[in-house]
Amino acid sequence: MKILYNGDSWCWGKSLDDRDDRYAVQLSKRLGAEYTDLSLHGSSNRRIVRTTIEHGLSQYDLGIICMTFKNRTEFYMNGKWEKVNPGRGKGKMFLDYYANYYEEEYGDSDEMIYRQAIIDHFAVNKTDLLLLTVAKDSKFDYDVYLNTPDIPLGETMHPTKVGHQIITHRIYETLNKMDKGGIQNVETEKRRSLHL
Amino acid sequence: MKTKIYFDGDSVTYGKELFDLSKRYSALVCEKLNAEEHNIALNGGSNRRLMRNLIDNLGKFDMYIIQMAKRSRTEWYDEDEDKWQIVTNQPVKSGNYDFWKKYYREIYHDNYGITDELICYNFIRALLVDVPHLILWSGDYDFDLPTDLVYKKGSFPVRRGHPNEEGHQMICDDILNILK
Repeated sequence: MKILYNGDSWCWGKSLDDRDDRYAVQLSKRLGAEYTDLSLHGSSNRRIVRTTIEHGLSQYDLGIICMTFKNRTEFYMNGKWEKVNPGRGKGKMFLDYYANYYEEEYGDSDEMIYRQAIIDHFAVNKTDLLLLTVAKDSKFDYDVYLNTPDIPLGETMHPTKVGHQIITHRIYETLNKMDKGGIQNVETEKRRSLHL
Repeated sequence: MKTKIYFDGDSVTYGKELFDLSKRYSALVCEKLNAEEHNIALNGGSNRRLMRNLIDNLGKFDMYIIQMAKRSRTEWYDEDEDKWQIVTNQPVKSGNYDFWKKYYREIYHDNYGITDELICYNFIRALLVDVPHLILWSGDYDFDLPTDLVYKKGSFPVRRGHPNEEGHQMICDDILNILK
């Protein structure tokens, strides 16, 4: 089995002493699977969708994609993709963006568009998908919610080694419940039945 | 019951510069197919708007004909007026004029637009994989995504940069040819 991961700092394993303790590595070991991890700390949902589409799915059996906070985005500036994350790091460069442009309504519709883009991209490529999120206040359905009170976080508010172990177990159990081969986002099935 | 066809796009699909909107290609196609026309195209519409609308309108129509917009456009949600505002690279009508002027001068890059276009194209194809649909593109820059119809500058006769009645008839004929 080969798994494609994508996501933000939670998936990337930010603040872990050893990034091999992150859930992507631990889960792959537990499943005896090969994996590719496209995640990056500070990622936006736009980046997750863009890099997943650009990378392609042909060699994968399963995608484990973790969507992030709706207020992030990215821009292409000075020859590279710049992560835009309000008030943090280089995000301070974009305070105008948040003051003049961003509203919750925009963030909700961004999340709706990118979430749907991921679901349908996997469906049309006939690749199983497990869709996760780190967002606490999402209006949309996901297969697994990671950012719950039982996950121990470190000083930077990222999961500790134990946190990643709990997440690994949670995803593993979800995969078992969904019978792996039959994984498909529930929402996708509901939506597709409208047209068949 | 009549077939219901959904159209979305920008000013080309809206029928800007036509004196009579019953001459726009969406109306002509529907007339020919004896179908019901649902055209929600908007002057200055963006690909983001197309995606947002498509999710809202999924499952309601028998066929979808989508005209992708210029890649540099976007939209923003105006909380004060409680509505979505269009953003084009001539932001005079977009509100927040200074911000958008700065956006196109300092933030927007064509690589951003190209990937936006790629995301939008994949989004439409994947979302409508089980539904009859066509994707059109009309614009004045290099474009290499495999849409069903591509109209580069000079592809149809225009009035002030938009297809005139003859241009709309040409687009209609092209669509009908594909649907045969």
